[in-house]
Amino acid sequence: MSDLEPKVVAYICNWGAYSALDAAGVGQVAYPIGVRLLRLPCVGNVNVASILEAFQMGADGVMLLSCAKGRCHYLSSEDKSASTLAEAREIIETLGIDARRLRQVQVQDADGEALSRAIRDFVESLRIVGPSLLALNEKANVAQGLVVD
Amino acid sequence: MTVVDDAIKKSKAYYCLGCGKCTAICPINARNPGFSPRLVVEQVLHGEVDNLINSGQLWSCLTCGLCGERCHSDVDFPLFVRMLRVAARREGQIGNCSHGGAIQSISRIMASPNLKQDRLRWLDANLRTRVDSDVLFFVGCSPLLDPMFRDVGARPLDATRNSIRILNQLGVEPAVLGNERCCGHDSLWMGDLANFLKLAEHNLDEIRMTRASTLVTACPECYHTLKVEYPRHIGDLGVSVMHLAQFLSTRLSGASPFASNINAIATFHDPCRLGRFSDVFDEPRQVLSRIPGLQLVEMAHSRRRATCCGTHAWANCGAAAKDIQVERLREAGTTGADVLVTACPKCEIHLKCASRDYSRDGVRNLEVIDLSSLLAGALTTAMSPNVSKDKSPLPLGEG
Ligand code: SF4
Ligand code: SF4
Repeated sequence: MSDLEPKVVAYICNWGAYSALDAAGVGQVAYPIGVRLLRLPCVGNVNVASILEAFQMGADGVMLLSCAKGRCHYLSSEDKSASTLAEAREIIETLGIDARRLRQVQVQDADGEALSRAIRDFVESLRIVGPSLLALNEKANVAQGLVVD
Repeated sequence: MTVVDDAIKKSKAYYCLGCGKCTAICPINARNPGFSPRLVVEQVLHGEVDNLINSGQLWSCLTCGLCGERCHSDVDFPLFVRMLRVAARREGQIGNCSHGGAIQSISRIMASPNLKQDRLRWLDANLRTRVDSDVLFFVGCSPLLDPMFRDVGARPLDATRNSIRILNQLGVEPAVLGNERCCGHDSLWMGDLANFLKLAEHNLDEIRMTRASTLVTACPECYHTLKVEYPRHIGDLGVSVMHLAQFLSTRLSGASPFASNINAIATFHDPCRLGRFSDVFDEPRQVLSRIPGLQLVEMAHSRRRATCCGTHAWANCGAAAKDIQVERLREAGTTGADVLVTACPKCEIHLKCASRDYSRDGVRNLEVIDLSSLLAGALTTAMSPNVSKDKSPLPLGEG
């Protein structure tokens, strides 16, 4: 994979959003290769730490792929994600990380096309923002053997 | 020399007599008898470092230094633990990170050379700063911690803004750094030396580029790290480092700028890094004594005997921490105080968190507030203190 391909950590909800990913797979709908999908029981439980850690480790962008409005399997994810995102945005902006690098998309159940489009849109916008400079730091750390965790 | 030998030597652990006085006074041992500083020293001296590292006990210590007050052999147990944590990290043991590791990530992001932070957004038109100032105000992590702890009612940026308001009132327009990094206190105490050194070097460069001869900070951890650890690890900063309380105590010799009558009883919680670690006990009290109407009372455990706020480096917030905090709040309550004043943004966060969770658990309803916010509330000017909440934190009297 080219270094120019944006690296995205995408937390994806096991229910609605993952059904869309399944549909994309069955329908052979492609999405960008730089995306690492992490399947979780509920994206509402992604905390600020998981977002920051992805950036710290050099992700160009972080996505929360959650269920469509009103479709949360556990009812509460929308509120939780909203406050997590607000807090994370404030922190990353202070650190000089462009807030456009963090995006939440609510995905309709089993809509593979929409999921793929959402990821492509995000990756295109990351090309405009440019590569994360933090990645260079992490690479240097690893090269010097400085990172143990 | 191995890290372990070095730890034994520098902390003088080889002088340990095995008397157990450290264990007897340790607030963690009182709640978790499995952790004993005496046994930790013994294990290491007997070559059982691997067992110790695997037990995870190294991460239980608050590094509060209370044990050092009792040790007749002058063993520096916090330093011992800190150096052993470097060894533990090399074995893949990184300790517990409360808040999911978010704060550790923040400080590691700040270790990046390629950072262009936007960390001064909190400055407003009422706060006067100057790039060529003789005084540098080292802000610390408050702009990053502020969004994280609103749910417990803590607003670390209030203390930052109020510190600058007080400096302005005294005619000081400090410089602030647009690309200041985390001071590295937590990395250092969690055994992450590599990131500590990176952070320290960035800050050294930034500080040397200023015209300042004095650096003032409102955070005891920044204070101790910049004043003691930077020269020890990377060299002289070329500035004199002061905690806000020290700076104010030297500047408040003339007429007091505090005229608002605060009809309250206050008690002061000595932060470990400011008190036991830096011997700054009198200055915060001197400054508080200048506030008209404020009565200062002492807790049974104050000054050298002060209890820790229960957590350090965001590493060990659990049942023991909460119990220590609740006991501290109770102790403050029994003095009859309305206000528990501290001079550390982290003590404020930890104690506020506990007072919120346990407010019905026999803890008197008392306000936890940072020294700078209390002082700003007592300033003569018509400007109101910067407190981000609906109600005033204090029973402010008529100016
Ligand atoms: S108080 Fe000092 S001498 Fe006594 S056991 Fe503890 S470290 Fe050893
Ligand atoms: S530094 Fe504090 S927590 Fe650690 S052993 Fe000493 S008294 Fe206990």
